[in-house]
Amino acid sequence: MYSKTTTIRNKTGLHMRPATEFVAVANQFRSQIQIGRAGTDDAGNAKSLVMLLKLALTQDTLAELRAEGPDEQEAVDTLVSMIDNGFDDIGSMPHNP
Amino acid sequence: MACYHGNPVSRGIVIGNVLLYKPYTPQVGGRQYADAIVERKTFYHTVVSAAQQELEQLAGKLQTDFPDKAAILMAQRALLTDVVLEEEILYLLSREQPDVAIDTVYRKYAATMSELEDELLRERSMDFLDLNTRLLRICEGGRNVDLSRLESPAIIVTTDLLPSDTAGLDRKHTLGILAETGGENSHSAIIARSYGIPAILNVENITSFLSDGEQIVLDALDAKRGCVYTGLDETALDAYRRTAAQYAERLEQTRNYLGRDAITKDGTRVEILLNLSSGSNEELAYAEYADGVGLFRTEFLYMHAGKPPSEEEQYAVYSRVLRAFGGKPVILRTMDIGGDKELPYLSLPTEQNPFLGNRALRLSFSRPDLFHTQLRAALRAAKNGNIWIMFPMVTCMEDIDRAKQFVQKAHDELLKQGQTIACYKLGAMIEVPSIALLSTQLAQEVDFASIGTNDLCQYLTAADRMNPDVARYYQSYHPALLQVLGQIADAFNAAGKPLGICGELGGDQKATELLIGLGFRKLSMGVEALAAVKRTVCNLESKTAQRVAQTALRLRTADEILDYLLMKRG
Repeated sequence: MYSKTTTIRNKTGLHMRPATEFVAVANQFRSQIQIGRAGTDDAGNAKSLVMLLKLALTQDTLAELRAEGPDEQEAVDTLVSMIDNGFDDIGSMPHNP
Repeated sequence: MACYHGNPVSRGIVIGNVLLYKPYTPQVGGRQYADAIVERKTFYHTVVSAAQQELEQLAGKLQTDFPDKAAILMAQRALLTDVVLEEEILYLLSREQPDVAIDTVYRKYAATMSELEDELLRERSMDFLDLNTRLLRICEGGRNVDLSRLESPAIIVTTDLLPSDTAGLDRKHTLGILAETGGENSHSAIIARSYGIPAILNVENITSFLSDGEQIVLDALDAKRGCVYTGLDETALDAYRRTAAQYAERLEQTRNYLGRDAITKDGTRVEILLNLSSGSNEELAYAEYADGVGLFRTEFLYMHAGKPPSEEEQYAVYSRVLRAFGGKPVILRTMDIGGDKELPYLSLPTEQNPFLGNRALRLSFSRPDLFHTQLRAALRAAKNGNIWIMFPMVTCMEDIDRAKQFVQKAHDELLKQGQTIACYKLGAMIEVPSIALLSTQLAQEVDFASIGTNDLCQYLTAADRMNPDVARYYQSYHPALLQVLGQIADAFNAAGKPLGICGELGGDQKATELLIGLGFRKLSMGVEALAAVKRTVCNLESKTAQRVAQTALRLRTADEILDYLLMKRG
């Protein structure tokens, strides 16, 4: 298992569009990935847009990502960097990590 | 004739035929799609891929003009194959029919979303309901009722519009939208505004009052009350057609002339300035379309609270306005209180003749504390732009001398306190006949002046236009007013001092040519008149305008002058 925490940067938080991009990237990994509010049980499948929306991770939320599987480290690092880049430049995100 | 009311969420007026749009209402349960679980799952996957296709097509249509809307539909498409959603539905399929499974899961998530704190996320609940409806319709084998391809122009009348209905709307043929539900920020309202389609929402039971093909008038011109008229006779319809045509023309003017400079055909530049009454963002949004502010009324600062505004409060507001206009001149009029503008906290005595009483600059003199505070705030704000300070209700040279002493006192005090003061100009508002007749002398004493035609007309004609018995004596085109305007213009032009008009006449297109002919080069007006006056200026010649003014000055009555001007405009 590999995990990392980071703060949601972009103003609107993980709204529909950033969340859609996020899920699309998450789904390209084989590991099981969880995203949640750090320090709480509030977590869900990072490959599910529904879960992501339900979590309502708004700006300044401390989020935790954990993955378990063959590409766990790469999955977490890629998704964390996506969050850290604030989804400002979604077009340049790696679609085939 | 009948009339129905609702919330006018997108402005405009339109006459057209009703298209009753009945959105598909799902029937869930009681239907046997497939017995075997495997078949149910296969069926479910077929339905999902059909829904994906519909959404892709819809998004494709919107991609160029409305990338935002297309993105929302593509996000909806992504939701369709969400792992968690799918897992739950497939699980339910082991004991339920596909429609029940879909409905259960999508409703559950719609409910979850609608309970979220974040308002934007809460609205996403609509996407789940929208998808649910789409999937259930496909389950039942229903076709996609296509608002994106109307056969003829129509006003769409419906109970409510789902995001996918509005997103694919046929812009060319949708004349207007009427719905029984929806507020200012509903999907329907937002899309109606972005498409520029007039819309009235929240019209109770409108779908049961109107029938398909019926001709109606949708009047969403008023900002507060939208009206739907049915059963109008030809005369009434004609009146609305004219209103609609005028509105369309105004819109076009706005689009075409708002961003232009006002230059006559023979090259005379006329400055078009704004009258501001609150410095709200709405007003300031027009800053780029104006050459400055011809009249910044400061009364609102004194009206909204139970006490006079502090220096800091005023400083902040003045600075904000000055910054919004960059280096363009902003004429700030010191408080114009008294007369018809009373203030309880000042406990001013009731006067027999308030308009001839202790008002405006006179009141400022009798309340030096208020005046001093306002001048300090204005002088400090000078560094944030190009401020011209103007005194209202000046009647004699002593007024100017005295006002200047007040300014000097505030100036010296600020310097002593170590403040720096940027350049500013001092001027007079000409609205009393006595100072108007002294224009030549006045022009030597001030940096600029602006004419308040409303009060000047009222004082010249000794008529209160609010009093219906004498309102007819108050004539905006009174020959005497024209004479006075001409004299003031001559005096200030001879002295080379800036002169503007900031009364109602400044924004009156009928008067534009006349005013330019009289020698005015600065007209100030409310935002609503900007485009129309710019258009008028751009389409006239200053030489012709001079002749028009000379002719008008020879006429005997206000009616003759107005008739002449209307005739000239054709």
